[in-house]
This record gives sequence, structure tokens and C-alpha cells, in this order.
Amino acid sequence: MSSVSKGIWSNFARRSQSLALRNRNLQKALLSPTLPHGPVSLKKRSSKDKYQSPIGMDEIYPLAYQYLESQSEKTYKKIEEIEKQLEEVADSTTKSQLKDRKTQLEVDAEVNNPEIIYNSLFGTNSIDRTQPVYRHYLEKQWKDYGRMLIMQRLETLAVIPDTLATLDPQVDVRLKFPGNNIERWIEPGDILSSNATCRPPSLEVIEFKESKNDLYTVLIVDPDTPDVENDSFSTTLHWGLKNVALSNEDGVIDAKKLVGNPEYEFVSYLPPTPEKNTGNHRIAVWVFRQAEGKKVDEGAVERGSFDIRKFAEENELTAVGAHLWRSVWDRNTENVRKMYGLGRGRIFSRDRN
Amino acid sequence: MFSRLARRQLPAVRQLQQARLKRSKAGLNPDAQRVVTQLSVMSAGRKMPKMLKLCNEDYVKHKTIMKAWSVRRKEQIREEEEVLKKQYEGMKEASEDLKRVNERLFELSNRHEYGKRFPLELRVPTEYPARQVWYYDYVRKREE
Amino acid sequence: MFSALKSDLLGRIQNSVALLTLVRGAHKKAGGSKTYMQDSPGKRLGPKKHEGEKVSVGQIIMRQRGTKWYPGSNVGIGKDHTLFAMEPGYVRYYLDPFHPKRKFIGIALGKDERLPYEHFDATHRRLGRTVLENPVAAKREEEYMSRKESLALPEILKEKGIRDQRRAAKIALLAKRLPEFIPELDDESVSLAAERLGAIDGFLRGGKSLEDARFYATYNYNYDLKLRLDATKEVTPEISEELKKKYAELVNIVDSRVMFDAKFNLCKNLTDEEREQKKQENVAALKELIPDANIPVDKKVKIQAWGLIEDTCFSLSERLHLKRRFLKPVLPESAELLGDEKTKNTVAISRMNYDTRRVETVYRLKKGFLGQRVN
Repeated sequence: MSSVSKGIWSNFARRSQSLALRNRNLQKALLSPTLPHGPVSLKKRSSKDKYQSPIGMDEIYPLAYQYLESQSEKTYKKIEEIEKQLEEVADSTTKSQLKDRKTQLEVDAEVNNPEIIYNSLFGTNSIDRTQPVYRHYLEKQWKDYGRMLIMQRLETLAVIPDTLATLDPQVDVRLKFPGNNIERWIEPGDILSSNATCRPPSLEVIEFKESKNDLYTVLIVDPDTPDVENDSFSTTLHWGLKNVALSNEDGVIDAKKLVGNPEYEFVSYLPPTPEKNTGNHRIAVWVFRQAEGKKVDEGAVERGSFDIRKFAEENELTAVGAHLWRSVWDRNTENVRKMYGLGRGRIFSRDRN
Repeated sequence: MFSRLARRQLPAVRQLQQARLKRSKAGLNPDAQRVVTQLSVMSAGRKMPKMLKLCNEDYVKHKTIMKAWSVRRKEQIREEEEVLKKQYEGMKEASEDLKRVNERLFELSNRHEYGKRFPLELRVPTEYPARQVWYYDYVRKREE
Repeated sequence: MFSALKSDLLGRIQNSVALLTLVRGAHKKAGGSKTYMQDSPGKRLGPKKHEGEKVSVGQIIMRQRGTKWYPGSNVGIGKDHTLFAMEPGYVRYYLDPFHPKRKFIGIALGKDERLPYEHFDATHRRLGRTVLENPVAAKREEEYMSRKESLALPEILKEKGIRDQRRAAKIALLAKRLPEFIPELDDESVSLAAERLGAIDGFLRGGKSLEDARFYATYNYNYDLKLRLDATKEVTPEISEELKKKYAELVNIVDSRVMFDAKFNLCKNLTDEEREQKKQENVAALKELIPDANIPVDKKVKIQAWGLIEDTCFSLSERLHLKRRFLKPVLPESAELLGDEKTKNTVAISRMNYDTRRVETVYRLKKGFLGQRVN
């Protein structure tokens, strides 16, 4: 059966191969009026046998596909024009404007492509983040859930304003503890055991704008450290990473990367070991984008009484993403303290006075 | 005794009832229909239209079709608006022209007349013809 | 007796009749106001503590009907809208620009602090707890368990015991099997290698890839070693260096010789090239063994095919894929696979024939089915 695509969407001479569906049978299904291999995405045999496509879809679908494809071709023509303009223009502001316009058009050209829609709906784990259209879909998904969730957790748990004043999230930050057997992404605000957090976490920073070699700083702080002298609380710095180069392809900060680049870590990981009766400690993970071309320089940083606002201001850091988990004293905390040579933790009175 | 009486009278009653009912050849008989109605009241969920269950491929195809339709509609609306804009601009230009050529005629054409309505003889342009195409016996109201 | 009762009853009835007539005959009552003659004692509402007054926890600041005043920072509200102090401090009556229509009462922690606090400032909090210096009291407090915890603890400990046991048994088994693959290891290395393999096994079951599992097993070992060197100072730098080197050597040997297959069984290690080659070889062998999957094969061939499919080079999904390709559970219903009657070698299948509208019985030869797995 011939493909419904007669134009740009089946032409990979100038388009990336990652814009196609990897599964051949699925691709064939989306490029044919009917389903030549049956419903490939259905797993059960009985569902496959029972399944019937909606009546009339085979007639309309090619028309719809070709219409959208022709629209896309027009957009690609516009992109070509902008590329020509880009070669001629020397002014930097115009250039950046043209580039933004080009990225927008690149999204518009592919946003209705069925293969891309399929990938971004059902294959979110393995999509190519260098393509603007995939980033567009990822951002949409994140804005629908992830961004709202992290802001809700940050606000209800008062991480803002207890650590930084506020946050305008621009990146999705995901966190897990790969030193443990069970590997799962931590939901913001989860209460984790002292055993689960006893070795450094790994992060994934998902940028939605084009990012080639931006530098990032990551700080993990605990604003709930008891400060007995002042009868108040202070902030402790638990982990500090600086000048971490991330891009759209590779946004992961894990042990593998840190072993290869030991200069990233400027304050080694200290696991949260809350003392008894000090309640749930909020452990906030802040991801900052560094000012362009500016590196965070060497300098001794004190763990205790850490002023994160001052640090961010001094180093021209913009907070772009955050994550958090909570830790509380448990029966294993003393073991973790011993592992890190911290000595026995203090015991606080159960009742407040 | 009562049962015998009832048995004797029942067909007659039934006949009466049937005579009063609307005759319909298709569909269930009224008793069955009543049962069906009562059952359907009990399970309201059954009356909901069934959700379309599509496999992922067909879901994406469905989305594509809907998207193509909306893009096409948007395009059409844009084209129509463009035509209207052109018409308006043409009228405006003609008006300006008239103003330049003859001020008095321009004034006249733009004069506001109290009680002047859209004349019935001039039909409003519509997409489809009216049911009654022309009022042949139309008489203009005599102005007081 | 009866007469007495009768007279009594009669008397009562007459009385009630008299009462009824009395009510009916009464003069018309004048309509009064609904709220006339209703009063209650004063409820002593109003402020109990005033601006700047020092309060301790729980003291009532304001009694009110409804929220004439809202609870601000460090102030709580009761079910009758009574405002009370939640922290010791100084009472402040204030307005908050974020809620322009509300009046607030708050507690400032310091004498000179004004409310509301700056919106973007970190919240002003009081610790309010003391460190238990008395070792006996501290120990008692540390050992204190909530009811929930004390009820859950035995179960948790039991499960932990079982898990530890299982883990020890797994490592012991690995240590026992390891010399099959690497005979030259000494006992100490074997136990260390078994520990490592146990960790890798855990990581694999948790969903990591073999490469990641190996990396994190090494990483965790080195991380712990670094902690022992830097944090707890249990080992000297020389010993640490030596241990690290030794472990790296062991990792080299173990990783080049053994790995886990898709079902987490210990097996000979395959490099990526070897694995690819083995896969191709096995698929070629399977093709040769079963050229047409729709033709039944005998038991010996089936066993051979199973052996090829369950080779260590294939992942679980690849195994399933190959099984579906070469060993079909039910072969298509061709003429050769149909019997005539019920015998030892046939299976009777009844089914509806929609053309004739009859239930038909079909006898299919047993060799048309894959049947139970045989080894």
C-alpha cells in the first residue's frame, strides 16, 4: 500500500531522522489510510481481533494528512527565507529575533505531524530533545502537571520564601537516588528514609529552550537546621555543584558525570540526618542557570549558616528549577551519621516550650 | 368469582387501551416498552453515548483529522475576512473619491436621515435564498 | 367499683370539654414582636490582650462573633473564632496589604518586630525546643516510640530479618558458584566478589542496565571507602589506596568473566560483540532447526530450540519474541493436523459453525500444540 505522505514529512534529506517513528509497523500504520498490520499498539490478542477502526477514517485521513503536510511545506519555505536573511544580517538583536522566529516556525512546521504527535504522546522517555518540536510537546506536558506540582509543593511547604524569595520555573528538574536498588523518580515533597538518601542523588535537568553548553549550579540546602543559640533555625548546605555544563541532549547530573568531572563538586554530599524531635526537614534542591560566560569561582563555602540568597546574588545565579524532599529522624539516622563520622545527634525535647 | 370476572373482562379492557394508543408497526409492544423504560431509568449510565475506544494509531489519526479540519476552517475564516476587508476598503476609497470630486454629493450620500430604514426591496445578502423569494404584492408604507 | 371509674372518666371528659370551651372562648391575643422580651447576658466579647502586650502560648487574645479579626502570624483560631497565641511574643494588631479587607492580629516574636513581615523574607520561626543534656533523659527520649511505631516495629524487624537472611543466602550461593567461572580466586576475593555480584543482582532487579549496575556497585564501594578515609578516618590513605587498587583489579577479573542473564542467573560474561555474534548464530541455528514454524516438530527439536532461545545472550523480550516466532503455541488448522475421531493423539474441540448453525466437533492432532514446556 502506498504511503499517504507525498511531501516533506517523508523526506529526511534535511529533516532529522528522529522526527520519524522508530517502530516500522507503527510508522506504516500512520502513513496508510488503514492499519495494514492491525492495531500494533494493542497488546492483547483478543483486543487486536476485536478492534475495528472508525468507519470512514480511511477516506478522510489521507486528505487531512496531505492538507497538513502542504501547510508544513509552506512553513518550511518561510524557514528557508529566514535562513537566507540570517546569512545577510549582521546585527545581533535582529539575528536573535530571527533565530527565535525560526525556532517557532520549526515547531509550527512539525507540530501537526502524526508521527511526532505519536512520539510525544506515547514515547516521551526516548524522544530527541534537540528538536524544537519535541521540546514544545515536553514543555506543554510539564506545564500541565509538573510545573504546577512543584510550585504547589514549594509554596505549601514554604520552601519559598524560606530558602529563596520566589521561583519562575523554566526547567523540569527530576531527582532520584541511584545508589539504591529501587530506582524511581522522587515526587516533590516525598518523605524519604535516611537510608534512601545516604548517597548522593542524580538529577536530570530538562531544558525547553535551545541549550548547547549552558552552565548550571546546583545547591541542596536544609533550611530547618535547629539553631539553639538564637532559638531559631538556620540553613545548611548539603551539596554544592557548580559550572556543570548541560545541553538539550544531555541534561543528566549523575555519579558517572561527577566521576569524570570532579571539579563540578565544590561542597561534597552530606546526607540529611535530622536530629530527634526536630520535625520534618525540607531538603530543597535548587538549580541555577549561570550568567552567560560567567563561572562560579573557587572560594571556601561554609556548610553551616549558609545564606543561599547571598550566594545566588554574588555569583549572578538565576534560579530556573527546583525540587524537594523531606527527611525526618528515624531508627537508621544514627547509622548514617556514623557512616559520615558525624558523631551522635542531639536529642531535643519532645514538647515545645 | 372475582378471578373469573376479571378473566372475562380483561380482553375488553385491553382492547380499549389499545384503541387509545398510538398505532406503531415498528418497535416493541407497549408493555415491553414500559419495562425497558423503567430499566433504563434505573441505569442512567446506559443512556450515555459510548466512549470511542481507539487504539493509539487511530487516536493520533483522529487528532490529525480534527486538527486538519480546524486549520482549514481557520484558513477559510481568514480568507473571508480578507474579502470583507477588501470590500470595505473599496467602499471607503470610492467614498473618498466622491469627496474629492464633488463635496455636495458626498455630503448627500452620507446624510443621516431620521427614520430611514433599510428598504425591504433591498434584501440583505444571505448565503442561501429565502423561502419566499420576493414579496410580489409588497406596497410601500405611505409616509405620514 | 365500675361506677366509681365511670364517674371519674365522665368527670375528666367534662373537664377537658370545659378546657376546650375555655380556650375557644378566650379573648383575641394581641400580636407581639418576635424579638420582644428576649435578652441574654453579655458574652464578654472583645480584646483580652492589647497591642504590644506580652503573651504566652495558648493565651486568648480576642473573643468575637465571626471573624471580625483574622488570625495573623503565630495566632490560631478556635471553633467560635476565638483568637489565641500559638507562640510566646508580643501582640500586634495590623493590616496586611495582601488582604486589604481584613484586619489581623499576630504575635511578633521580638519586642521591636513589626507585622506583617516582609512578604519575600524567610519566615520568622522559633525553635522552642531544648537539647536534652541529661544522658538518661536523652536516652529515654531517643528510645521513645509512638504507639504506631511500636506496633509496626516487630513486623518490620521480622521482615528485615527475612530479607537479610535471604540476601546472605544469595551471597553465599554466589560465592559457592563463583569458582566454577573463576577458579583462581582466593577465599577473600571470592567473598568480596560475591558481595559485588549480590549488589549487581539487586540493581538489576531494580531495573538498572548491566552496565549501570556494575558502575554503581563499584561507585558505592569506592564512595564508602572514601567516607572511611575522609569522614570516619578508619583507614589510612595508604590502605585506602591499596584497597581501591585491589578492588579495581577484582572488578576487572569478575566483570570480564561473569555476568547475569535475563533471569538473574550467574553465567559466563559476554562482551557486546560476542553477544551479537551469539545472537546471530542462535537465530541461524533456530532457522535451520525449524525452517517452517507452521509444521510440527518432534520433542527433541523442541528441547533443542528451547535451549537456543534461553541462551544467555538474549534478553527477556528477545526470548519471548523468538518463542513466538519459532515455537508457536497453536499451529494453524491445516489438513495434516486434523484427526477423524477421538483417539489418544487427538484433542476434541467443539465450536459453532455459523453457516450450518450447528455445533461441530473438530479433532485436532496433539502435535499441533506446543504443549507444556519440556526439558
